[in-house]
Amino acid sequence: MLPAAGVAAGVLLPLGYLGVRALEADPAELAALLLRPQTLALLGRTLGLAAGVLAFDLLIAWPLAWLTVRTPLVRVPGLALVGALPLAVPGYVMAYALLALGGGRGPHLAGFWGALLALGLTTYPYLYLNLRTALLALDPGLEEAARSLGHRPASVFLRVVLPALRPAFLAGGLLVALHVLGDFGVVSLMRYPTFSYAIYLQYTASFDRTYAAWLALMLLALAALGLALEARLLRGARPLGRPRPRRRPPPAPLWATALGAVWALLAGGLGVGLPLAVALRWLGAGAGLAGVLPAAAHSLLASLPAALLAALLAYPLARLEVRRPSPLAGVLARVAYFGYAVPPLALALAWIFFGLRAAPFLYQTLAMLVLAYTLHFLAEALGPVRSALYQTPRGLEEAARSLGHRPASVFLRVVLPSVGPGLAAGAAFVFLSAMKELPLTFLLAPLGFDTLATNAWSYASEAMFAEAAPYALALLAVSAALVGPLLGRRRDRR
Amino acid sequence: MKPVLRVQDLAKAYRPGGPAVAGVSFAVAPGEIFALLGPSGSGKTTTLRLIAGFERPDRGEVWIAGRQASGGGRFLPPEERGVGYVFQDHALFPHLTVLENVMFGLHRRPPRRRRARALEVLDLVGLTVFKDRRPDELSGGQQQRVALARAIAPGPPLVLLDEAFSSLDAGLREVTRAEVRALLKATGTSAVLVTHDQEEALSFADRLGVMRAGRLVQVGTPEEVYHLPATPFVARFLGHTNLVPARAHGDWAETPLGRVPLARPAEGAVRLSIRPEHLELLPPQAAEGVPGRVRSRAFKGHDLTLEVEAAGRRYRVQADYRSRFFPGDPVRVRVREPAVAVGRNAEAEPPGVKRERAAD
Amino acid sequence: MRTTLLALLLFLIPAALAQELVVYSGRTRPLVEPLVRAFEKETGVRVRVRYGRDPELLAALAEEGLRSPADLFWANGSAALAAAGRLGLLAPLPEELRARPAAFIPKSGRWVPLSLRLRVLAYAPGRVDPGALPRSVLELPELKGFSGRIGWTPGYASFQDFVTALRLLHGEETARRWLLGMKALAPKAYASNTAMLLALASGEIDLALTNHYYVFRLLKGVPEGAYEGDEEEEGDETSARAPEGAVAIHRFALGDVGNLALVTGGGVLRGARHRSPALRFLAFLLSPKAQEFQARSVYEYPVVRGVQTPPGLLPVEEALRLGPRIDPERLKDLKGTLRLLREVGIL
Repeated sequence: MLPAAGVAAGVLLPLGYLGVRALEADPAELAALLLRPQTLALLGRTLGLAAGVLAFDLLIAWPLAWLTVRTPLVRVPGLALVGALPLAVPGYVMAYALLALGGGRGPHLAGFWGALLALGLTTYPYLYLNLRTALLALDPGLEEAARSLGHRPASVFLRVVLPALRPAFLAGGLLVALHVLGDFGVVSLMRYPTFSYAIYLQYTASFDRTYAAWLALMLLALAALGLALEARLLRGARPLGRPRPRRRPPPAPLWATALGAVWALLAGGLGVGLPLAVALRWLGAGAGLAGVLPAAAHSLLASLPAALLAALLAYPLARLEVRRPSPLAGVLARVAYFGYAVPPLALALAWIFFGLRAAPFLYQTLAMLVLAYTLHFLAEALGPVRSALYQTPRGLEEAARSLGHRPASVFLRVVLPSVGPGLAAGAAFVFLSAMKELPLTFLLAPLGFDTLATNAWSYASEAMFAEAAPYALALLAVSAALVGPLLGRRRDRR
Repeated sequence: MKPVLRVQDLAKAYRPGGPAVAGVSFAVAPGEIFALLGPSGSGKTTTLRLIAGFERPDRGEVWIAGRQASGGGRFLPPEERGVGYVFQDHALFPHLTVLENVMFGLHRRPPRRRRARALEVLDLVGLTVFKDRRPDELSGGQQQRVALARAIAPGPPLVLLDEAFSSLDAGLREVTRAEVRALLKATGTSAVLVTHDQEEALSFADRLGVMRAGRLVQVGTPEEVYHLPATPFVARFLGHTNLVPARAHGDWAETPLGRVPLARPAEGAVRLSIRPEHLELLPPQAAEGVPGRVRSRAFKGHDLTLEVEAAGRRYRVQADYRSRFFPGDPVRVRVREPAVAVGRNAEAEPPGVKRERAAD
Repeated sequence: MRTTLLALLLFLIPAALAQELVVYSGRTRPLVEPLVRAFEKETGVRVRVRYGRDPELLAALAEEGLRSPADLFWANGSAALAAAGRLGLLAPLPEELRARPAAFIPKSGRWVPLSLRLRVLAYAPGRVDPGALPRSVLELPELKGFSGRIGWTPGYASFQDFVTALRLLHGEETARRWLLGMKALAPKAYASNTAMLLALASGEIDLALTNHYYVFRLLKGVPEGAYEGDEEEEGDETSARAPEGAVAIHRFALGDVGNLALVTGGGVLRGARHRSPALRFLAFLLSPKAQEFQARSVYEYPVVRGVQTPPGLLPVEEALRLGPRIDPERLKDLKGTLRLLREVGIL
């Protein structure tokens, strides 16, 4: 309980800062800014984009999850990467890739559809990995029972499979939606002004932090709305529970496997292959490689500890929610999503604000950057840890305690091995996100601490694509090299 | 009367070389309860899934209520077979209440009648008060009854029970079994129960079939199968027995325990199944039987199991609580009921040299 | 144990303790690093740079206040510098330094211009007859034939600076009429100049209101020039992505607001702990050699007379005269510009 509350407090810290800054606003100016008809239009556009991206992600993630669980496709190597690596692709790289793909002749991938594609292709793993885990735990007997009760496959899907996967849909969907709400990079390149981007422009034009604070608060209000919606939709949903002894894998017709292969190829080709191809095309003569190694070291130095710490901190939150469910536990777990929904700029300013006042010795140190990453991306680690806990027998920890082990020993010897895959997946999510993070890195990193992501961005934003390419490629390569084995091992355990 | 279920030469192989089910045929009459008994891996659950339509047979036919469900180029999907199925782990829908679970199969009825029918069935299984609970708020026995209620609610002529009682603890299992049997009989529903528990099969079924390695070895009433096993396997699988080499001469046989009448005429070298309760221990001074010595004694409350060595073999003997024999005591062993020849004997004659496990 | 402690200690050492020069740069690394390295080599002063974007860095500076480890704010636009001055973050600069640039020196005296960027109209020569393009940006709305074929970046600071200058020089009403006239041509709004020029090269649009160097970078790429590099090297190693001739620059008449000069610059922070190296760095950036390097490597116009510009760029004196002469700090009424852009429904 106490650790969970501590983590929640850490995540909520920025809210205090935002409150302080938001109160400095000139009410008339603020009213003029917020209470205009365009705000409503922007809001509608933002929600439309979020809904569109969700639908698109579902279109990719659901068949991919179903096919990888229910057909022999499971065994195809590299599939784990196709399912996760797009998370490592910075949104702006994907946007550039799609813009380049449009070229002079092809369809112009800009505006709503461009933003939808770029965001969709970089976020579908959130949904895919959640659905896949849920599908693995889903008892095929439920579907058979429904068939024997006279329901056709379509009806079985609607009435049994869909409800059973609801928590997974919601967990993944929430991350996707929050990601879309907070995105600047993609929507700006695709010139599809959303709510947060428009207000961000207001801020950059006036250099008034008050607006940044209000932007953050409004996004948080939207996020709170999303969280409330999720909690409401989740009501009555039952955790899938422990996986039963697996029945014989349901027969997979050849056409399904073939279709699965095509789908995986398509998703992988777009999600990973496209940015890779663009980065490779950028890669021209004269691209300096000297800076890549130190930048990669910096990226790892900041992202790895953050990933591990996030997984560790997610554990008490998830444990509280799963083992001692209560309204308070639910709120505490959802607080983590607040940390995710706070726009990075506001988060960074909050860290500067509190960092300089409360812990000046930590200011602009690696430790602070790691901490900021951790609390920002905590929500991403929560889902996998939670699923893993649901699938771990409740009595496991009690049994270990009764056998004379102290809590630390129980964690190391019992929890880690059984919840380990979930912790690993959570850490992988956070790692991928931290690797490509920009605003927090810009403002909170130690001086001169350039990462693969900041360098790739710097060059690309000056249209120096050949110079950006090695950094972008290294970003993908390092992410793949670290996350591949992590997620691959998880698959073997099944 | 036309059978509710007819299975003809059913075969299914999951991988080449190891047939899961090979040429199984049997029929179930209206209102009859049939059990498929066999060790795990014998193909009984696969047979059940072939009947339900969860799997496609490689060969053979399934007829349900006079309609061909599988075979001859036809394959009815599970939802069109009108067969209830009760899963080993119940497979209750976790997102639905008890009532909603039971109503799930009633979707083709007019909405007003669904609820009424579901409540009626819940009343039948005595779970009306739990109708608004979720499956995870019920005990194992209650879940089992919900699963049954859900399966019979649409009024199927046939219910398939896949190890339906094995997840219940011993005491509860017996009570539930009796309840379910009564319920099936009361509604006149036919059923096929798959189980590996011989006691369950014997007490629950009107008729049973014993399966081994994908084949149906013997079909009959519980009494027939128990008392007249067709093979040593059946004899052993349906309770303890002593397999004894013998030489048969029509309606009697020469055995290490002397001359024994046969329940079924046989000739030549045979193996006899002699149930432990068909052996009797007499004091050493008795005139009948062959001499032996008690090796062990296991007290079981209402009766006793003794192991006796006689003529170089060990025999399992069932005695009542009054038995005064203890390990080391000399006794005489007598066969008091006709034995059953369950196959040819592979052992050399004269019998009685080689030691054999008396029981298993 | 000791190694762990040591590692922990290293982990916690704030970089700001280093006794050198700390620069917060709103300009990206590729534009800044060669100059920083050259300065380090020349002076022995160690320079540490925090890269970011103007608005973010300004927010950070404002948040940090006097506790900021930064000594110098090198911004990509005059607006951020003006705002920093207004927020009291910048210290006055010595007269000697302020006298170096040839023009565009702010009256506040708290920062100096370091390079110029000119607003231009970029066009696709294959599809547009340059003779048909107007002498003044004010006549642009009359090009009815280009309806739906003009690109602009209303959310981008450079464009907003231009609108501010338009209001300042021609009045609110003209600016409003111009914006409405442009809006009637259904221009395509881009949020990045690079994306807009790619669209221009690929045929999505025919005209684009942009800054001059984006065109050069698109056509020639940015030479990965070493500061001390020799002339032959130039143009060799590029990341050009559009063929020569895909995009060209149209210049309006002398003094036209369409040729507005946008100023990058730097100022020393009031709380600077290393004031003298900071001043030295500014002086270095205004030296002919650094100015020339800047022109050569990133195609920005020098602000110091007598500096050679690379082929394709105008001579310094001409560039300085091209746009209207105004104090860059007068372009501060962004709120008014935003209000106007909102009113006409562009933002």
